[in-house]
Amino acid sequence: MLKINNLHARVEEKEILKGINLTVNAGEVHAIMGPNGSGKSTLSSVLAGNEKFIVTEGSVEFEGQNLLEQSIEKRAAMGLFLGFQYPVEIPGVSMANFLRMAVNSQRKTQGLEPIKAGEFLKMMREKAEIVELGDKLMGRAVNEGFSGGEKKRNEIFQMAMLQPKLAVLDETDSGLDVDALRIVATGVQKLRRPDNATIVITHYQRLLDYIIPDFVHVLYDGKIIHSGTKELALEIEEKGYDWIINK
Amino acid sequence: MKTYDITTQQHISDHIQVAGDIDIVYNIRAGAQLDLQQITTTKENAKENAKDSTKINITYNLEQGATLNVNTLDIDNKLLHRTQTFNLIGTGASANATGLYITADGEKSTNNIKMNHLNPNCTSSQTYKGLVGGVSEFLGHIFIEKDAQHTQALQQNHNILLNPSARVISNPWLEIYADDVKCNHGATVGKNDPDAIYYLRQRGIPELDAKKLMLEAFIDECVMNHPSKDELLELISAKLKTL
Repeated sequence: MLKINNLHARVEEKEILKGINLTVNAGEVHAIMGPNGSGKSTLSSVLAGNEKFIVTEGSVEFEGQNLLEQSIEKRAAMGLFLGFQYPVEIPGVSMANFLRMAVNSQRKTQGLEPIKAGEFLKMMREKAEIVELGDKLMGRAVNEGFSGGEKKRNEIFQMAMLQPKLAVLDETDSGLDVDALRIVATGVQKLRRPDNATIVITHYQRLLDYIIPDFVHVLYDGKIIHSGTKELALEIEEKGYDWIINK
Repeated sequence: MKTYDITTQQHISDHIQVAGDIDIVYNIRAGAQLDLQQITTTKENAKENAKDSTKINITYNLEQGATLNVNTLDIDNKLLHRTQTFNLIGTGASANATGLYITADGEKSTNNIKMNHLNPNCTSSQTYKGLVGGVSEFLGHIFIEKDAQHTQALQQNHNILLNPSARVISNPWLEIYADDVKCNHGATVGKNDPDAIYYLRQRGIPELDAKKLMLEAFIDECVMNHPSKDELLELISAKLKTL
């Protein structure tokens, strides 16, 4: 599904990604861990097409296509979803209006008719339940006045609405209390299917108690320096990163 | 000059196609209410010939307990200079003014507001927003007379610049001689939030649609209660395409 090969990227003059290699297949969950400043968020931004970052070397293939050539919105329509670490507040744009536009824009790119109003409302209700997000948030502006936990649950709700092939969740667990963490993680778990994949970027092992990864990678100084299975996350929790970095 | 006497509750919704200067006075009598909605556009041939500003002067005289809600929308004009003078003459009068102005490159709009609080217990609010590709001026004067105690006066002016050569002049001016008043103002000039555009695009919404959605959201509070909202959004949409 996703093949990242020797990916280098910089922001302004600073090189942040220094040769990432990663392959993700359908049905897999990958966790990317690593200390602050190692390039985790940069990786997710580069995949999404954030124009602040400039790819200087390497390639990314997604669903058999050159991902880096595509616009941000095209990548989304191809099935790439980014769960934002800091979801953006958009005053004046209602959740319902925003999601209808998003769903229909993606459908249009995929050559499908716009979704019927009744079907859309039913879908909104069903998907909101996955992350226990109440009806009242749907009438509000996107993320405006949402609590930290509501914003993160809203990201997973949008993921459920858009049904991406690959979801990249950038520190979705940061700033969450235990209950919100459980709701978010259970939501992600419910959305797992054999034909989709998830990359979970996280600082902490605790999220991985709920979302069991198939692979755990350690990102340090712009490179993946170590990969393993879910036991690696536990080991990092116990011993930190130094033993890997110093190897 | 035209003078109107408003003695009951009256609703006026106008679409003015500017051809020359306009002078109007509304006398809103004690206890009466005027809801005024005014869309202003300039005919294409008048635009071509425009050398001097077209002047629209409107004066509102509010007697005791009178209420005014006015919404002006300057959508498609070459050089427009609008002055609105609000005289809160009677106690307990209330004026609520909202407005939107849109200018393309080579166009200029001026909104000159004079909010005169002359007696106690009056309230006023001003909310003006601009989508600016040319030059737009907002001059907002709040004057509070010595005797006009317990005045509440609010003023907001927010602008989005649509291109690098766009220019906004926002000039709040508060002149207060009473000591027991509540007054505040705020002014911003900025661009469409790039983080919000990125967020919308990441959800699959094409860049142009995302920008349009953001602009519509920005102006929503100026148009949401308009009786001919659909016609209005069409006018605005047509204008935005030229920017």
